[in-house]
Amino acid sequence: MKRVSNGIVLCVSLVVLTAFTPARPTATYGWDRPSVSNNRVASEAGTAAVCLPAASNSGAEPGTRTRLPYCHCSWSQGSCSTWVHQFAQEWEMHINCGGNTYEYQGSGEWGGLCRPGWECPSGSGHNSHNSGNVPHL
Amino acid sequence: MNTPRHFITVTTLVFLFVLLAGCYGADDANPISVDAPHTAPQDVQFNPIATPKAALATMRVPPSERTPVQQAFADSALRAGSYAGAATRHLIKEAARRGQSWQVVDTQVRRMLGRFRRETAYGAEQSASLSMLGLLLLGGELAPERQEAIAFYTQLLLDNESPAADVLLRSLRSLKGYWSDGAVAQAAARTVQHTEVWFSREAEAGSKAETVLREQPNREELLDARARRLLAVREAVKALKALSR
Repeated sequence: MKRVSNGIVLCVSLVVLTAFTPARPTATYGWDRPSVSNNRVASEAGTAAVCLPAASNSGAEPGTRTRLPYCHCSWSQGSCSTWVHQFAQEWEMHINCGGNTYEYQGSGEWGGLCRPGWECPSGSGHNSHNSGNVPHL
Repeated sequence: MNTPRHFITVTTLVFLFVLLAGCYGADDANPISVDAPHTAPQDVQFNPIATPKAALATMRVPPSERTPVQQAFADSALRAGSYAGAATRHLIKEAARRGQSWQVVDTQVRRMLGRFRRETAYGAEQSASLSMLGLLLLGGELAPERQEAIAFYTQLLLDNESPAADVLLRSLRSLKGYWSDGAVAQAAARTVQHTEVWFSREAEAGSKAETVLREQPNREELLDARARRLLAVREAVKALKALSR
């Protein structure tokens, strides 16, 4: 009887434990748990931006590691190529036209780049591309 | 005797519950806040970045006419530049937060730059150097160790034909006594030349860039930042000309 009694207490406790343990957040940190295909580079324009995970950080050059996660978008327009990177607390924009590159940086968020529904400018239709899906922030 | 056993069992389970809850909570403690403020970009900064001669042939080809290899080169160069600038500023901020010395950041940035592909590293080297000089190295006490670091990033800017004359002017003034007068004068002359080359392309490239900028949500800040910085660059060229004599 003692064993049965102990078993009942253990089972009830486990049920309570399971029911009241706080759920692991899955939607709050889109950066480190991105949707599938987050590293894929699509060739079509108009797809949403992607938040790359800090761990893989595939947008960086091989061998470089950082805890900076970001979304990015790149497109071409006429003779200019543009990259926008959204980092955790700042953004960077590089525009290259001919031999000159214009580097901009600022704090905060680049106009919704990492938000669902944001689209890369389609430009002239050449080489406009973006990556994958947007995890919910 | 049942009661103490039940008490121990329940106590153990409650302990486990608290432990698990704590672990899940700790998982959220990311050192970088990823929940960026939903505000418009502020404090926009602009840096002029040069394409050195070795990369110019590729970068001057219009994107629509580039081969896939040329496009990959251009993407890699721009991406590396964007990444390196932000990463350097992040390292500087983190060092300040942790009370680390500038030497720690210097070591990390040099290591990071060493990992970029040589031929597409010119943007990364300029972005990181401008951040290191402007935010960390210039303005501090000029001990020989700091001057060595200033010299390192100054040389990177010179090698990449940087037109950032305002930052280079401050750097060269800081290097007096560390570099010979002749070396400082020669570097000043090279910077004047690089800046003039950059401005010679500006009439065409600048107007095209403005077309892109005018379509951005924060166009006023972008255009204003560029105008302010180029004014500072032009002013610095005058002083560099005097320094080069």
